[in-house]
Amino acid sequence: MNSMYVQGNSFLHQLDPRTKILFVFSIILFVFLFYDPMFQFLVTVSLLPIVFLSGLTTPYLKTVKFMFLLVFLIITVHGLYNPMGDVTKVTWQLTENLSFKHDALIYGAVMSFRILSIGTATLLFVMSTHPSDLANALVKWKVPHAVAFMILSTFQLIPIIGREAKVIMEAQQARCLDVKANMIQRVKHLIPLFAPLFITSFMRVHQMSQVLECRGFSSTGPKTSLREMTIGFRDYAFLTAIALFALAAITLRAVVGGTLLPITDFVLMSALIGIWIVCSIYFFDFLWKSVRKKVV
Amino acid sequence: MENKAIKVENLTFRYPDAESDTLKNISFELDYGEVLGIIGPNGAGKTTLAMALKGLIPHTVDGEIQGKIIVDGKDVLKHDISEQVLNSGLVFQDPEGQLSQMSVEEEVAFGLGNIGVPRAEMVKRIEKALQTVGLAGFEKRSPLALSGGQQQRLAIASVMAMEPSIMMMDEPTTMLDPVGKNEVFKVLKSLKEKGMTGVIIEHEIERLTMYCDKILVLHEGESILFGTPKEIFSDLMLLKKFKLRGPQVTEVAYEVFNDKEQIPVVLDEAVQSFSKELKA
Amino acid sequence: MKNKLSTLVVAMIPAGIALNWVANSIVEMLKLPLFLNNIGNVLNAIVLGPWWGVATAVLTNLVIGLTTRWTIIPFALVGAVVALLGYWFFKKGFFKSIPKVIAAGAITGVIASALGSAVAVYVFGGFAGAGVDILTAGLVAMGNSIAVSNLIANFPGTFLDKILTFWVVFSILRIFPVRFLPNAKKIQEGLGMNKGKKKDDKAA
Repeated sequence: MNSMYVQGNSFLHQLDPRTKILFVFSIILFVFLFYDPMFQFLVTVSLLPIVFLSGLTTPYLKTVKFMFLLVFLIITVHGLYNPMGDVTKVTWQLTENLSFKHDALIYGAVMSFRILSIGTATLLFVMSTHPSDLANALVKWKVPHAVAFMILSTFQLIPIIGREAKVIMEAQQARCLDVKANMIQRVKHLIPLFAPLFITSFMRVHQMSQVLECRGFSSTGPKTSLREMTIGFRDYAFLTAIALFALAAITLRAVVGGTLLPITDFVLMSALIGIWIVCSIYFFDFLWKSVRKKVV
Repeated sequence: MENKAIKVENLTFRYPDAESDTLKNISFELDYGEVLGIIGPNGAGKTTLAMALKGLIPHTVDGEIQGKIIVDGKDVLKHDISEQVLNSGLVFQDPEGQLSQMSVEEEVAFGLGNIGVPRAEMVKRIEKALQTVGLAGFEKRSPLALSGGQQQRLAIASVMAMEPSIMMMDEPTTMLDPVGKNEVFKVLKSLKEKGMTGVIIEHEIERLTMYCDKILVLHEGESILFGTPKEIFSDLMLLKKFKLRGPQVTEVAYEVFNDKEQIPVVLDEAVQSFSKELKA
Repeated sequence: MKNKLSTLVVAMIPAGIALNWVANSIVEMLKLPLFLNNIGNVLNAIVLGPWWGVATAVLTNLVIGLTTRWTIIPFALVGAVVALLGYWFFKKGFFKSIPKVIAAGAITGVIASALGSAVAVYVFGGFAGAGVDILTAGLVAMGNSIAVSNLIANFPGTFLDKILTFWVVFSILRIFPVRFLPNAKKIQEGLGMNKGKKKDDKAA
């Protein structure tokens, strides 16, 4: 199975995975320091040039889709129904008893942009880092060698066991196992499907544990890796920039507090409508594609 | 006595709760530079013997073990497997089940990394190993995208790169299609030419005779025959008694020649013997 | 013997993760309204030990987070608790008969769905980035609070799912060939099948 890694040679790709992990954590720190939709929005937007410069625009736009459904629901549902704060401060009266409330919209907007910025940072990391490099970085951080192996070998094992499941399923169907029977019957089918799958998996596990023994997995002493990882000038520059931002953000938080600027209705409305617009673009794109598929 | 590659003395093994011994009082010796072929019907204990030689028995499999196994000067029963990776390496039967990494080069690098081979050396060894098994140029491919024969050659390369003194292989071609079998046999032949010391369990007797110096015949856990291919296969009557057959050329020649010395075990020999016979 | 356990664990955890994943796609193919994506956690918790079950849960969500959608990562907590409960019920002798297994699964289902909703509310404001979110939104629009809506929307699926997860693990462990199980004796004791039956299994 493939991770979301996209091959490339950009600045981001060349950074050490450890630098990128620190980057993701610092973004998480930033968005939780403040309770201000403007700030969260700025963090999200400031990540977009990195997406573009790393040549990840197309895969990013594809994977970020499901986050927009989440964000759309959060800001809309919370804005309309969350009874938090001052319920009488209304931002947008829709009908007589349906309105977007000011405080609830702040919550919805903050949540939405938090999710978008953390999501974007995570995607940047995953899309620019080969899983083997991630494993290597973990080992450098004293995560046991065995844990790194577990993560990596899972990527190989999922397609193997998936293929076995398919073979078993076809074999059982050939023996009159009806996948379209009623619900209770289908639940009962789970055992003849899972039993052989579990047994072959266990056999595989036994052999793999012996292979690991033969390949010196339990050797004590230092381990080495084919993948070279060096923290270079680039990493230091990037880390320094992050550290400066973090310092500034923490100072700002201490001096000004969680909200930087007064949150106006205009800001909230822009956030709400903005998210709706992006969502509808995705929605129409989806519609257009499914219509085209039917026509062709 | 000191410089034997493998020395097995009175090896007996029984799986837990088993009714009888799986290996019964087996003894043999192998010199460096020699390749030993182990043959025998299914259930004769071939895989169990390979596992014992590698130390998987008793270190990962429970059971009662008696006797002595010395591989490359090390007492297998007393040393943990991780201390024996430089003495012997084992290639398993199932090609795919041995692979765990995301690319061909990382698969070979995996074992090397575990024993702490420095990166520069690693790169050299990977190149050499992949060259030997004919997988140069496949470095970045996913092991899952390879054919069975390629996967098994990759497994051989992964073991070989660790440079064990002795290579062991447990039916390396059984699960392969004919093309895959040929690929692996070609590699084995070239390894033999390079002076490998090895143990190979195999069903294909014709192939075994091409690169084995010694043959061990197992039957119900007992070592019934041990010797050079010529010694073993010319005694077809005895083989038949244990429901085994000899190489095809031997079987044919057996009917033709009376002189035991003349009976060939490989094709080239057969051609010579027959042409000599025809001239006479 | 120490070595044996460690490389076995190292090989078993990826298999547990893969089984979580594959089980999920099998029930999808069978068009059952289930997930079974904790099956490897419970299996590993029973076979290897509770903390290995937790490790399987955490790594499962991490791997899925890295390959499909990152929003699943916080829900590792639920998988971990299901693994621990699975082990605990096994230890307390709940894996000896079908009614007891169903009871254990039901209790686990209740806890898991409450925990799942708590995670969803705290981390994602009551949603989880899945299709069932639409149902949650609908329930909110009908006048329920967000936490309650999430719980109502997710409860039936999660509840049934944990019962079936436990049932599948129980049924399979009972017919499992002994030689593939580490700690086979302990496990058979936990399954209440150590009375003379064992010999037959081995012969087969």
